[in-house]
This record gives sequence, C-alpha cells and structure tokens, in this order.
Amino acid sequence: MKQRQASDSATVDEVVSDWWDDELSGDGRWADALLEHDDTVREKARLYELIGSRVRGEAAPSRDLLAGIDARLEGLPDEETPKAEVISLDAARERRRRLIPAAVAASLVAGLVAVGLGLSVNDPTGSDGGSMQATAPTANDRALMATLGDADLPESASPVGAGVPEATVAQVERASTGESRLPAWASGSVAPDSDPYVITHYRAAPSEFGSAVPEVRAAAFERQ
Amino acid sequence: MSAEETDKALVARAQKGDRRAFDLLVLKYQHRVQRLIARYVRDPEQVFDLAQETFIKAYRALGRFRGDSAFYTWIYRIAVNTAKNQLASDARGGYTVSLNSGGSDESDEPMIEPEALRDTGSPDALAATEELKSAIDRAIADLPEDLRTALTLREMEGLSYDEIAAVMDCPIGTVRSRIFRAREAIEQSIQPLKGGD
Repeated sequence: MKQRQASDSATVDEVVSDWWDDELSGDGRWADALLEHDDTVREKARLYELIGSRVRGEAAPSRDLLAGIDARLEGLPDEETPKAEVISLDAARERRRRLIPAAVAASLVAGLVAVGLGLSVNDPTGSDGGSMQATAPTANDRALMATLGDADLPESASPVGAGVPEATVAQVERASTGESRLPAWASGSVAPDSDPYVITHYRAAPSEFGSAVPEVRAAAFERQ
Repeated sequence: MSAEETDKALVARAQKGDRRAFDLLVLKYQHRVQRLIARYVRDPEQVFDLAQETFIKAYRALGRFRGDSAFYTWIYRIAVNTAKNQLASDARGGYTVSLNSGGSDESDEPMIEPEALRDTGSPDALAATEELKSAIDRAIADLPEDLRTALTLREMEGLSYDEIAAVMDCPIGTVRSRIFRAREAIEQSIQPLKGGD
C-alpha cells in the first residue's frame, strides 16, 4: 500500500474509505490520522453507511444513534467511565503484589489440611509423620474423650458413631473434672473405620474453643 | 489483521478517555450492530434502543477490554447478549425471535427483514431522506461499470479487496481506487441535496 499523508485532505478521504472497509494497511498509526480529521471521518462514515444501505436495498435509519449515545454518556457518573487499568503496568503489578500473599496463605492452609487428613487416614499406627501427632491430650482431646465415653468403646468402634448418642451433660461435666484418659484413636491409634474428618478436626482445632464446643461439633458430625 | 490494529488503537485511546475515538468506533459499527439486533427484535424502536444500550454497555466495560479478541467480536457479543436479555425479560412476547438466533456472526442470513430498520423520522425528514435515497440510487446506476461492480461486490457481497481483485482480475490497488472513486462520484452527485458547496 502506498504511503499516505494524513495532512492531505484527498488522501484522508481515501484512508477513511479503506478504514470503512476494514482494509486499512499498517499498524494502529492510522488512528491518529482519523482522530485528527474527526469531522471529515464522521461525515464520510455517514455517507458511506447510506451508500451501503442503498446498494444492499436496506432502509438506512434516519435517527442518529451516535447523538443518543453521546447524550447518555454525558450523564454517566465518573466511576462508570472507562479506566485504562488494563493497559497500566503499574496497576497490574499492584494487583499481582496483593494477590501473591493471599495465594500463598491459601496454599498453606490447603496443604496443612491435606497433611492432617493424610496422617489420620493413612497412618493408623502413628509410626510416621509423628511431628503432626499429639503426644499429650489437648483440651479438645479431653473433652472428646469425655463425650465419647472412651471406656465403653470397643477398640474398633467408630468413636463418633458409637459414642455420641449417649453423650450427655453429665459426660461434659465428667470431662471438666479430668477423670478420663485419652482414647486410643485420639493419640494416634486410629481404627481403620474411624471418621478422618472428625478426628482431624478435633486434633487440629485450637484449644481455646474450650470443652463445650466439641460436643456440639461431635453431634453435628454424627453418622446416621 | 490491520483493521483490528486500527480498532485496537482507537480502543486504547478511548480507554484513556478520548470520547472521539469511541465515537468513531460507534460510527463504524452502529449499523452492523443494528442489523445483528434486528435478527432478534422486529420493532425498529427497540432495535435502536438496544443498539444504543449495547454501546453504552461497551463504553462502561471498555476498561476491562483487553484486546484478546477483535473489538467487533466483543461488541457483537455484547449486542447478542443485550438482545437475548431483552427477549427473556419481555413477558408479553411481542417481538419476533429468530429461529436461528444462536449465532453471533453477522454473516448469517437475517431472519427478520431489514424493514426493522425502517425510518421513523418526521414526514419532512422522511421526504428529504427519500429524496436523498433516490439520488443515491441514481448515482449508483450512473457509475461506470467497473466502479459499480467493485462497490457492489464490497457492499452487497461483503467481499474483501483481495477477493474483489481476484473476481475482477485486477490489482488490489485498483480495487481500492475504484471503490473510493465510486463513493466520491456518488457524493458529488448528491451535493446539491446536502446543501453543500
């Protein structure tokens, strides 16, 4: 394509004709030329639209869509006008800077949960992964032990399924006296059919929940 | 594609707040958008309103346009969604829905006649428009055959300059020139009606 000078009015008309037909060669530099001759472009575009409508046998709309759009855009609040954030490298960097810590934190939490579940389910003897196992009963362990009535549980019984129906306020009181001992499964000897979700929750939950919350949670996770 | 590059350059300027750049994009695509919407909606008033709504939505979302697709693809998608949403919310069902309304490609045959784009101005304006149309029709008929053929292949068949060059067996520069000269000739012939000099 021959080079055209935007300052030449005749060739500006040619540029508009090419632009109208999606045949403008070159990169985006023609946008400047089009904007520079804004009035000419508008006039030509309307004419070309009319000509095209006649060639196609269509009725060209007589209403001015652009004027209506302009009127409505004038009334738009500032926050609804386009912002060039997508082409701002600084903005992109800032977004990335904010997202990275959140992503790392989410990954960490997900990893901890996954490790906890793996220890509970895959290591019934507690022979490995010891760093995640409690060596002494926590407050939650003690509360759970009391709730489930550990002494009455058969070795292979699911702690929640077998114990919760009998859970009473009296058992909670028993927990508060510290009379019970930690159940075998809670110290790492987990029966194969134990509920890993409940076990993990009890062992991972912070002790500041106290002794009452575990009962509520145990009831919530009870198997039917 | 170079046309997309020009559009993207205009979009980039519009994103920076240059309303003239957005206006040029509206000018270029307004009728194509209206033709697309007219496949879903018969009422010309509603076609006009939905086309306006399409461009308003586009303007408000312009900051999120990343240029992954061409601007016209993006604006057509907005137009189709706007038309479909309108149909869905129209409880009366007073508008004709195209049986082929799933497509977003404007090259499909319209299911609704172009009458949906009928003029709706005042009688005087309509008369003036009718006179202008007649003058344009005469000017097209009076064009030399090579100019009229090139213009018709472009406007009627939507062929690219490259395709027209192949059909007319001439260089692409000649096609470019013929189409431009055809438009110039038509403009000259309607100057008196426009009240121009």
